[in-house]
Amino acid sequence: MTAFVVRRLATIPLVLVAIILLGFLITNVLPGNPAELRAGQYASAEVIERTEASMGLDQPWYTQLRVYAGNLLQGDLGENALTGLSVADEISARWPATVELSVVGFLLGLLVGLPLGVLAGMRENTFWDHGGRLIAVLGVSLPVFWVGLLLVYFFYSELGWAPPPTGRAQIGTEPTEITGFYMLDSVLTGDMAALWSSAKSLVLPSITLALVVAAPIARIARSAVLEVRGREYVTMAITSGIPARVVLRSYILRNAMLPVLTMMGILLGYLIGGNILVEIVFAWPGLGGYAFESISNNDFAPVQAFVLITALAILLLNLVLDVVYAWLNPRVRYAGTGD
Amino acid sequence: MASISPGSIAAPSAGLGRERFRQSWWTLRQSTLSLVGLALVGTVVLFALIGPLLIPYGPEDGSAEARLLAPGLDHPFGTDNFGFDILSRVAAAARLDLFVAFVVTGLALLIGASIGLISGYVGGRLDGVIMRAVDTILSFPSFILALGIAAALGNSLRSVIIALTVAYTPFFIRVVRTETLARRDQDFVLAARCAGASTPRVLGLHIFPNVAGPAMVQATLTLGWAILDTAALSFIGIGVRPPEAEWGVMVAEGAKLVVTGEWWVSLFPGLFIAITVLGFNLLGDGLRDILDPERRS
Repeated sequence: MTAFVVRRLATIPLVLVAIILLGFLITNVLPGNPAELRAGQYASAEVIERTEASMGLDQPWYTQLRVYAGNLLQGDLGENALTGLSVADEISARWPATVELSVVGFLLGLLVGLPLGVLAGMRENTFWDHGGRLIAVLGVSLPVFWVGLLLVYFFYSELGWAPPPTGRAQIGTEPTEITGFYMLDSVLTGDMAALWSSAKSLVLPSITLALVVAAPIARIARSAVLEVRGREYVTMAITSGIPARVVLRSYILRNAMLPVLTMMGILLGYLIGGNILVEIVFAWPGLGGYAFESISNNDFAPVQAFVLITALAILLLNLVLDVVYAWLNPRVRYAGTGD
Repeated sequence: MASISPGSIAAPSAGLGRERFRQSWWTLRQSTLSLVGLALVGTVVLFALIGPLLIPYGPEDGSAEARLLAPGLDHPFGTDNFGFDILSRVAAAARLDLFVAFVVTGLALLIGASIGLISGYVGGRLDGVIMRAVDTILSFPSFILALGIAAALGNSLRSVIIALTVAYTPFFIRVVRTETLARRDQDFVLAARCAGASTPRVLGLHIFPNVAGPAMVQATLTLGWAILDTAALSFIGIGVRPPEAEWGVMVAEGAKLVVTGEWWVSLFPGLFIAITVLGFNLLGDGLRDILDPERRS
């Protein structure tokens, strides 16, 4: 096991270098001079030049790369040109919003997608199967941001059931921040009004995000169940008179979950890609919304930080997934480097 | 598609064109869903081609009095905030989005298939390095990758095309490389080499026709992703900018109006994205089922 983890860890530096280079490229090629933005609209050429020098933009690219990588290693992600605040601080204030939305959305997607896929796989070529597949293919075809807008229109503008799509809670009802997770903070402070308000605001965004992941989960679960169901040991178990429920649980589901776990990395990709769009639609003040605001302002540091943080998150989550997978499946652990 | 059966020697010939078409059509008819997909895609392509000729408004003619009219006889899809006719804008956007999707997919197919063929055929260290790079890129969600690259290249349609091409090429490299690896030691390749065929000839005329099926499936699915990602990028504000007609931009323009009840501005362009992507996905899934009966999805 240790050997496996070490082998897996050895692949990380290469990816990290690639990510840092991409981040650096974003800095240096993004149009719009960040110094001009910082110095303000009416700054003279001389002031802009001085700002450029203070930001190190007049240095050759290799010096800039060295400074950039050095800062990065110290956790310095640069400054937001518009607010002048440190990007690292702004991100640390915003990430709980993204994580709260992502976790709830992901769990909701799992709750819908997994049973749907298993049902479709167990009843191949029946109504359930066709229905499940139709939902799954629709789920990967509909643009997330559009679905979110339709939900807003229907449940807010028409029915008036949902709160306006303006963030994590209605103004004035936010909980006192302890962890930054609104639901958790409301419970910790015993603030029922805040809990109700933040739960209501979370419903539509998390449903939208759940749609993004439910469809691929259902597809993967279906094909995994289909494959396992045809195995000889399942037929053997059934003919041995083992109750259907036990066969399903211990023989089929347990083995089908391994391929589902392998695809988890791809699902996380869907989740993170969908997240930024959902945050924009619902004005959710997380990292995706932050990247969006910065893109509109032509400000590079936050966009770059967003891509970096996302990449790091994916890298770490994939690492955890691989280790869990190897722990569950000894065949992986003992195999060579694999291909 | 006779060339799919393993071991058969592909003999491309112009005279066989009609026969091939008849066979492809027959194969396609085996799957209802892929026919539905084909019909959806066909409708949108037709709409993009002749729609702008039939609609009496241009995508950017409008007047202040005609602002935000609900769908009606004059404007079947209504008008937007500038008084532009949404139907005509949706049609103009169909041209743009399909153009981007086909260019991106074509480029990714061309580059990815070439690299994949070489990587799979040559093998060894080169293959190892290429596949390591491909796996690295694929561990990253393609949308975020495209977002990062497009943001780095600057706000233009060209950067969107480059970014999406970079994001999709690894998928083609992997598909084509896997198939090439499985074919390169087969007898028909050996026969061609013994007969004195050069490496480019072996790759292009003998191996590629045999790996083209899976590459086509990938291309069909990629067309759908490209539509979805182009729209999403412009929705975020990268690439196409208003007032240019593009589906994602149009949905974004309607986003603020949805809250006040003007649903049609966002609904119709989004619907066209959904129909087109659904069409490509159904077609791609159907093609895969036909070409790969063992792994029916």
